Amino acid sequence: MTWQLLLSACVSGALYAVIALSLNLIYGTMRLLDVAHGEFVMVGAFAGYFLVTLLGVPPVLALLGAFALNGLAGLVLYQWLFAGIIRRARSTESLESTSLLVFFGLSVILQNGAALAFGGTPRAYERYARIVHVGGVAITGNRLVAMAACVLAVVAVLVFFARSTWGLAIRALIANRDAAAIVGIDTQAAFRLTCVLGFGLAGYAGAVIGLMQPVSPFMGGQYLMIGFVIIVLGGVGKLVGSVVGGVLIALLETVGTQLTGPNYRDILIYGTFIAVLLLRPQGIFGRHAA
Amino acid sequence: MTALLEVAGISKRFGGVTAVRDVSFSVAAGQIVGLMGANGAGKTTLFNLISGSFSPDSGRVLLDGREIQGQAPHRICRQGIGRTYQIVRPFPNLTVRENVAVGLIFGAGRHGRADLRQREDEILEETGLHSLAGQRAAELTLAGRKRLELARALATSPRLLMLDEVMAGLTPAEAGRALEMLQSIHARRGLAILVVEHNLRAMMQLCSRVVVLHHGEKIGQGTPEAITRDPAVIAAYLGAA
Repeated sequence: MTWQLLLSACVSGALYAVIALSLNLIYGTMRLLDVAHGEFVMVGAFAGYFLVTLLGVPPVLALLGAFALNGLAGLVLYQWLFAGIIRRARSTESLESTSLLVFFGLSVILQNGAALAFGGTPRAYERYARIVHVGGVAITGNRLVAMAACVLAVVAVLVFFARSTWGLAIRALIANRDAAAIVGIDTQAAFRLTCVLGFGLAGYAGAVIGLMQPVSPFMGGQYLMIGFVIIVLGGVGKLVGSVVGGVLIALLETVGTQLTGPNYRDILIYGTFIAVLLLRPQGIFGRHAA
Repeated sequence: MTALLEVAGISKRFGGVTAVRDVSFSVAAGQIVGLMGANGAGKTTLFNLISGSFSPDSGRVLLDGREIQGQAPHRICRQGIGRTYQIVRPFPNLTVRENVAVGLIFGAGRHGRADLRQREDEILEETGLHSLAGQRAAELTLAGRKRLELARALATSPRLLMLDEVMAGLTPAEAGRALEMLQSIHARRGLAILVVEHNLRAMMQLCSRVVVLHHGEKIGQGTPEAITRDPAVIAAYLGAA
């Protein structure tokens, strides 16, 4: 029973980590308040769904396909929309408020566009449905694949940021945009890469959700909220914080609802959110600004 | 012979305020030039215009005779101008070593990963930060962060280094060590330095030439000795004008 619960928390924890990581890349690096992030997840879910059901792509490859499609969309949106918003913003605050409106518009367009194109009825496909026993704990194969896919993505992203040259550049950019530019970092190029990674990962996460649950145009909202709760918990721009925060929120959700009841899920999550905002607004791992 | 840096008739307005008006001066290769003036005289604005953080409204900035005004900051850095900020801006979440690595990899040197470690060590030695290499920049003292700011600028392999009050806020002993460090860096690397400093004695010891700004305009230039006797400079500094 306990192990069953923990494994279940690990599956959603890994997924939440990917979603929070992708949102934190967009928000932490560029300060774009991406309230359409849930819709980008939804687009990725549909991309995965159609790649599997229409084109017969193996689901694991469909995850990469969803990453590529969403990443490309992120790149196009950056060139066409975000670059201008960033350039014209006079301060971080004005950038956040402008981008909030822009992304709100994007979210409405994407949600309604998807409803128009694909209909509002949830769609699902079934793969890897065999039940696997892991040391006395039963889990369906698709959830195991989903967890593995998310863990791989998280490790890949963290290694990229810890080891690679461009990962270093983006971490510097998160810390201080002006200082990054005067030591020779091409901020535009770094933002482009961030968009590919951030929106690509959102699509990847969507396709992972499609492995486990039906996809619908209206599925995004809950993941956006979870993403922001985790970012506040783990700290803006703190990538490892997003991973740890994702696992913590999943534990809280799974174990907490088991102890109290399913009706308390939102109260637990948003209660934590508000408590963190009140008690440690810099995030539970954050330090006070120097 | 063309100067390494030539600033020609540069001006910048913010709304109705003219921060820098028609300023011209030059820095020769290997020379240390000081920029003096009271708060609000336009020194930091001038730095921002040269390093590309702002575009000038008029006038030109030439590096080795080539116009660079209005270019993006990272391009100007890669052509060989490094700078520090008056209010230090190291990357707090990166280690001291990583801060230096960013400059080495992305600056004018465009160093690959091959001998990165060795080059990091050289710069950390040179700036006395070697024992702190593994610490996060946020954990350093102000003096340490100022040195890191200098180390990161040096890592970009500049031919011209612009230092915006690297000694401000330091104790006299720390400032003395910073001065020695600057002198030895200059002697070893032979780079040109443009320095803004309120510490007059440090300016006198360091600079072969001083440019004086007042309300955004250049009111004098010359050797440190000549500048201290210049009536216009004395008037501006003592507020008699």
